[in-house]
Amino acid sequence: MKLAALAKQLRSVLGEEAVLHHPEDLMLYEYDAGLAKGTPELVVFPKTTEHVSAIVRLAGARGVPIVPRGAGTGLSGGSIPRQGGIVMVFSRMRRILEVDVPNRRAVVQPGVVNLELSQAVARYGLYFAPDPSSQKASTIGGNVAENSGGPHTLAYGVTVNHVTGLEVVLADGRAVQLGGKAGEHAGYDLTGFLVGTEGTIGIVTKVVVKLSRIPEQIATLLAVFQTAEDAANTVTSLTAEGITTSALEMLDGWTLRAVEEATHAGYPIDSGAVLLIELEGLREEVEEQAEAVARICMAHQAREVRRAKDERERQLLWIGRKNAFAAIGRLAPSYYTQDGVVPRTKIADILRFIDGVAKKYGMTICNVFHAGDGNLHPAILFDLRDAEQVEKVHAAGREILTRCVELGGTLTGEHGIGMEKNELMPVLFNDDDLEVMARMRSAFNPNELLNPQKILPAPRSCREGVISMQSAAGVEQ
Amino acid sequence: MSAAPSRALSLELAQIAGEENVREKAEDLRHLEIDGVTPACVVTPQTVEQIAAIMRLAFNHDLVVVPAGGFTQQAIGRIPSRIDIVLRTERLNRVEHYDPGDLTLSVGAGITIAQLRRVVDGNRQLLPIDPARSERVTVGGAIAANASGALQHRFGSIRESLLGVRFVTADGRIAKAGGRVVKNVAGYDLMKLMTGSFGTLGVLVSANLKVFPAPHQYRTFVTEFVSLHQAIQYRDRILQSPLSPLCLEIASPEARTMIPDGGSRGTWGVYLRAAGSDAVLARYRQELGTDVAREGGGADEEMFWRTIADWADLWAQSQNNCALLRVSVPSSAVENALRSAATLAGNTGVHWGALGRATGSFLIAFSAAESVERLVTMVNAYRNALGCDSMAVITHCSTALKQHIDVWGTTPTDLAAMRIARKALDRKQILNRGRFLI
Amino acid sequence: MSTASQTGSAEQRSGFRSGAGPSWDLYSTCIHCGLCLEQCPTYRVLGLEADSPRGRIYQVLQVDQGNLPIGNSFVTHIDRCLGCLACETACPSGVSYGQIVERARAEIEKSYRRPLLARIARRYTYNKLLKSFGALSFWATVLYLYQQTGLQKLVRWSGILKVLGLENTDALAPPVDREFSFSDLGKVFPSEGEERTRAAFLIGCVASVSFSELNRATIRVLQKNGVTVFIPPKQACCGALHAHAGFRDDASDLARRNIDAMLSDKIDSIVTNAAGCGSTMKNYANLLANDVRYSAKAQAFAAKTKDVSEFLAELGLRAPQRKLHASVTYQDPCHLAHAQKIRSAPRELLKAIGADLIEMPHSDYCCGSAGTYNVVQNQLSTKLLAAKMEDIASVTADVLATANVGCVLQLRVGVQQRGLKMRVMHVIELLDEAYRQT
Repeated sequence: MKLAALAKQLRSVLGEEAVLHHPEDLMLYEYDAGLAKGTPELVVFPKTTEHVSAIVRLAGARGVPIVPRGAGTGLSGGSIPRQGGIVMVFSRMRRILEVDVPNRRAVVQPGVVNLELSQAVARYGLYFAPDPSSQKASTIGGNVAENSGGPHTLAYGVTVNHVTGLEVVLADGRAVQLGGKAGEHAGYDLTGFLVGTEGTIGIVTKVVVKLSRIPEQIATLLAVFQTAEDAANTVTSLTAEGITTSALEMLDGWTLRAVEEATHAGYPIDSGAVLLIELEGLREEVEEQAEAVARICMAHQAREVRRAKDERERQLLWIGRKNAFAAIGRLAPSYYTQDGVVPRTKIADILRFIDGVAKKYGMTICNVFHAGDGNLHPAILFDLRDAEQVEKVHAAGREILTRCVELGGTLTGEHGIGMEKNELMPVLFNDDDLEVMARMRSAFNPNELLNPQKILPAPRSCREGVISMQSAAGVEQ
Repeated sequence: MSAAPSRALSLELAQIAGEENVREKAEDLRHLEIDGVTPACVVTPQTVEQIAAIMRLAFNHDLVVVPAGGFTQQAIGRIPSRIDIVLRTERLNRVEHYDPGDLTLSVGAGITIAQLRRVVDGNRQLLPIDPARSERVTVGGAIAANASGALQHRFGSIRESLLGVRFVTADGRIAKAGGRVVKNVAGYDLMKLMTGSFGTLGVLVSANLKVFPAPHQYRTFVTEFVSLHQAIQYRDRILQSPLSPLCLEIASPEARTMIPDGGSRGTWGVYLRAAGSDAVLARYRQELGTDVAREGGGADEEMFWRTIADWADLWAQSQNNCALLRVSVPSSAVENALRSAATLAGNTGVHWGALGRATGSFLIAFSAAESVERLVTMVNAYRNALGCDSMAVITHCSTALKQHIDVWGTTPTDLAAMRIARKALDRKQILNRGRFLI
Repeated sequence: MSTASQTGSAEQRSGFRSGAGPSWDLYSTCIHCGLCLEQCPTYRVLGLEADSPRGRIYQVLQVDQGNLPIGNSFVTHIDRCLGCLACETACPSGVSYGQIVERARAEIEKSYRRPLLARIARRYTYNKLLKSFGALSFWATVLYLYQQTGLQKLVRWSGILKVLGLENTDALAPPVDREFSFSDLGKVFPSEGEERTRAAFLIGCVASVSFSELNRATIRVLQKNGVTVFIPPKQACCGALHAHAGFRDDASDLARRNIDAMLSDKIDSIVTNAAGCGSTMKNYANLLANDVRYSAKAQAFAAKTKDVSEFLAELGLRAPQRKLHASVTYQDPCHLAHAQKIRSAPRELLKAIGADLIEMPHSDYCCGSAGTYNVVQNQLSTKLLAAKMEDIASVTADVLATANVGCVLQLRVGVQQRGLKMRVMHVIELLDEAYRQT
């Protein structure tokens, strides 16, 4: 074992059970929920901030890279080691340290599971608003690293809007506090900056989150359309007419059929698309808006607009949506999900474009996405065992993302850049933009031992080489 | 105190921005004085490229640059030792992009909040940023100072509406972060870093913002209480109710004397602003019950909220020797924060007033005619009373007071970590040198 | 890039040589999304990917691809699975995890050599003890005498169990009833009032010796509801424990015996009060899919099999004369909630007899009983029980009800150790109590 001496040191600090080094154990940390692969040389399980500091110091002294990992539900390879080294797993650092009901704050360790937190504070009428589809398993630390969103991002914002303070271990092993429970603090908003940096600036060891109040009334509507175009136009009209939905999701026909088979949520399988629309707030407000939504949907040739009768029906509709991607897994041996964003006035345009790409490459592309904020998730179906298809999938994905950027959008709305898209960053940012970001990284992470080769592209001189290596790897996979 | 730049330098500046846009005569600079320090020159470039060229020049010659928009927030900060260039961004005042259907827009950093408000008003949309002096404060200035107003209660502070930024770095690179769309996690979130950085990390040149559909009608409910405790209880009742007002402000008895709310003397005020249909407003009435003293709408109501936004300025103009503090505490600490202000002000013989978000971010004014010492004692004692997880930054005071007291106060955020960020983007510290808290 | 399916192909040199192991089409539906992780009891306790459903499937894939031997590491992690199937409930891709693990265990039994003692014990338990009611009856009598003669008290007092590390295991040994259900074999119990339907009742192997009273209660409740109850004389153990442990051939033998003994045109349903038995019997079709003679019969058998709560809820419960005045919290047995997707039936029955149903948090998290798990994986099981007791202690109820004998035993230990004042009962026992109260 290459890092035997380091492993021994780590064991003496963390205990025997907290360090894995056998190949049969390490292989379990070479994947996440995406396709990226990379095997660590050591896996460690800290339980305290002091453990994290010690690991960072010991690894730093030997120049060994560290990649933090929550539940491994990420989709862009944020928790995959690209250069071996250490994977630091937070599954045993998962205590809710404090629930401050009057201030609507909770202080949690990074390994706390998103949904567990909401369940733990439900008795106070509170919940943690960011709701990624992975919320059953994904950790708050992971949500912070990726700045996770979810269907309700539309009304409540992504993770960064719900974090007011952090404790972070920096590259030198020092644990520092950033922000706290108050809304504002003097000095730079390093808390806000750190969210979404995927462990490339520091390792989060404590999070102060905002808790939100469970609304008085929730209405969940399902609008059924003959075509995806009608559904897309409805989204634009809802936005234009000032309807503030808390969630506005679109599922196309392909997805509907897969989801219905998996969950029996009552989705119509013979339609072109549905919109799943949620309204929250004061009873009176919700009722008025629900009427307006139904009217606007019907004006765009909706076949029907159905409203969930009770909490059970509501949950069922959402289970269908939240499990949509995994349900797509039933349609083909493999699929590749993209995460582009376009302005909400361009949804119909991009759907047409995606349709064209599907035809051009002779592939099926399912669309299930956060229409309310223009965040697309086209899922390209293929068979991983067919090298030719794999190449086509990469090309189709790149075309779609490039088009998103051309339409005024971006490369990722919530999955993060990670190692999936760091080489695509130049599509969106020029050299100066990237240089400034790189300066921030090297200021905090001077030897690039914290999650190396993520977010930012390799320096320009080596970029060409990396791209060709990556596509070669893609063919292999 | 200031070292005049060489003639050669002025020429270079004139070459970059045009002679007519560079001023170095004393009479043109007097109104740009900061804490008694007169800048050596002021330049008002027309383009982002000119700003980049100016910054390269400044970087190479180690010139201290003060980026400035409407010059409304320059009272904030420590006393500078030298200012070589005041760099005004007011000419970058174009609406670069506005997609009403997407509820997003991109604007030059030099556009004023009031101008921008008029643009979105035309599309029946709402800009969720309402700082004081909106006719003068620029978007860039509001971001740099993290200025906010009463709408913060519903929409959060400026950081929540800022989708993207473009800025010029200390060494003259034009960089951007974020984007135009409402959801975006590509690259580092430098928008958060820029917000509240007081121009120490770069010169903001444009911003992409999120707007909201404008409500069809507004109503304001004024409630008054003889004690602070009752006012806080009422606030808690609202926070625990299903209501979600646009604004929820608390005003101390002294602050209320400046607000045309028709209230009785010596009482605390709570101002709640709601929007929605008749049915929704009826529900507000039902929930708020008989506590409400007055209710208003229409143009008067608009004016009322303008006055609230400008309240602290009115105070500062009408009182000699005063200090304005921007305070932020957790919601449950508001009552104590206001009570200690009252107690300490009574003990030190200081006149005081407070108004702002009832949930924890408010402005507090202390004035003590002619006595700097009493103000120093007051501010120090007050900061001690607030504790460490809080903010109490002085946003306005005399230069004399600044010589005795740090305007920034304490912060829970690690200072060394802040220095790392500063060093990364402005290693020579030419932007607002000496004025920030690190 | 996020894609479905864990990479793999069937062409490579598979570590599954015997043909009993899971195949590519079974495990390739896993898209490694990780949604199962938190639902897995062993993952929650150990925090190891290797002890999560996703991780176990990945290890199966690695064995199939020839990258991982069927050695200590693989066997340890597969052994640790409780088979609770909570992951199947969580899985949006419809992965048949239970099938994958059962097959992996079958392969392990064929190609992995366990330590000698373990081999002897497993062979005796699964091939002898649980296959013949005679052997079971003998050992149960021994255990009964151990518990009744004071020997148990003596042994416990001596502390010898602590020395042997068997202390917890001893507490888990089922209390053996004086009368075993074997004496009821072959009997027919007539319905009370008009006959609504006819059912065959599976007495179960462990239940027969330690829960004969529960079996009697079940028969009484069925009779009360107009059911004529047959106890087919030649019935055998259902085979659940064999199948879960990897003895699929033995399980198939038992399935055929039960089909021969219980499937008949005269009988409308086959009823069990043990969730683990019910889920296995409903799965006979899968177990005997390749058996030309039995596959059709197995399908018919599976279609007639009902858990007693499901059976009664579908039939429509006859209300007891007097309501039961008790607050009840209900623990979902894994093999009812996850394997058979039955959640509402037991709750409906409890409400129908007037119980005040109070939901505990995480009612569908495993209690750690899991067949023989609490004996063979005692440390893990103890941790799961401790977590379960936390959730139970967070609610106030008179009765802790569940619908599976293994869970009843485990929860009784938990309640006793924690000193709670709750009665632990099978739902049917509560129904019986409601009917019998005067």
